[in-house]
Amino acid sequence: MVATERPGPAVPPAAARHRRAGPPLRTRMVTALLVLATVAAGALVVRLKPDQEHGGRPFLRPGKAGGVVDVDTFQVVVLDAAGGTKLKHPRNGLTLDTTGVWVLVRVRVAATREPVILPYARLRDDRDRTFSATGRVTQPLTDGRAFQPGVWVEGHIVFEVARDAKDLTLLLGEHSGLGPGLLTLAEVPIAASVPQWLGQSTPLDVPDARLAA
Amino acid sequence: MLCGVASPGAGTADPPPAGRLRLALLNAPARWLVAGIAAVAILVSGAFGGFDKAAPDGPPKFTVGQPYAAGGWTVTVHGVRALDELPPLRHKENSGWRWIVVVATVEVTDAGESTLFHTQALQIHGVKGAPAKYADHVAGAADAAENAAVQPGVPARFGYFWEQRAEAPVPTELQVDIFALTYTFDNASNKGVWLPAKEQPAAVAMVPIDTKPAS
Repeated sequence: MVATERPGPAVPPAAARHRRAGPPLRTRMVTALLVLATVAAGALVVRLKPDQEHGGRPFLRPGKAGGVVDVDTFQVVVLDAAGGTKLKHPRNGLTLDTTGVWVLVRVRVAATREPVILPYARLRDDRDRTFSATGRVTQPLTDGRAFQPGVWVEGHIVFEVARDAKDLTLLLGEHSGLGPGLLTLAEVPIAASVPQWLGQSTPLDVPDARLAA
Repeated sequence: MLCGVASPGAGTADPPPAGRLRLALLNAPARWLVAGIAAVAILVSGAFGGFDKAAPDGPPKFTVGQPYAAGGWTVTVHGVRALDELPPLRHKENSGWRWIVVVATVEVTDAGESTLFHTQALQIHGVKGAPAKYADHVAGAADAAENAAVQPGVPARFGYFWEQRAEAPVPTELQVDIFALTYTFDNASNKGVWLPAKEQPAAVAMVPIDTKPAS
């Protein structure tokens, strides 16, 4: 009997069966390219997406030395800076040495609306290293002093920085930096030269904070 | 031959190379497939360090007086002393305790930020009557200041003070462990932070204890 005479569904010719075995090569290549493109686009999105650290970075209010920097809840003026390899302890008068350099930044600060304290004080250098206000001496301004609205207080913030630090910038803010909250920080470059201070061996004084005129 | 039925010779033309591979895989015995998967796994493992020499048992040893780089900081253990008193530090009780003091220098090298976690850079073992895991006090060698951060690039020398019960013997030596400062994601602060390792020390050494009185 001949196949075409059989009842029931027609049997497709052999060539048709081959065509149905899979899509053409060009279709497969296009599919593969689309998959690759999707994967590449996903990788790019992941790479460009801000990470948690980036998303939680502080808001910076840049300023210049000598000018008023307004940080919403307080204002600050960076006056000048001094440095040396020895520091006179403000309480007991002992001379404190360091393997780095002592840096004293003189600032004026006033709150704007309500009392604030400013526990976050850092110096940042050209390598993005951050140096916290030293705990080796009592800090006149950043150890819990409350600043009142409209009352300008002048004093020093004492840092101990590396001897190879360059291009120091003061960061000052309300938050301690330990919690998840976002910081708003004053960011003011310090006109200073650490190498010049390496030869300064006269112990530096840390005067008490005082009301500014 | 019947009309419409392909002849065996013309209809079973060689499949393309990819098809041959597929057919070969489908027809291969299961053990071949398992062996092939294992071989691929071994090669992938090798690409990610699987063929590296296995670490020796236990943490490496540090040398007293030599800086040891441990993650984000470098620690130099200078020595260990046993002292009854060392003002201005005070024991938790008026009597019945002595100090076991590890003198070490810590320098923040890679962290790039100040840290107060240097108090967890060291642990000691092998001292009876000294219950604390971390030092009871960590004070600056120059000014006895406590709670002062170590600044990046500014090496700071400290005394790590453990209290030991006075009735317990002073051993001739003890084991000092250095723990690395590691960068990790902290869920509490929701950001990357530098924290000391908690479990595995980066390096250990047996250090003799100097029992000479303080000069």
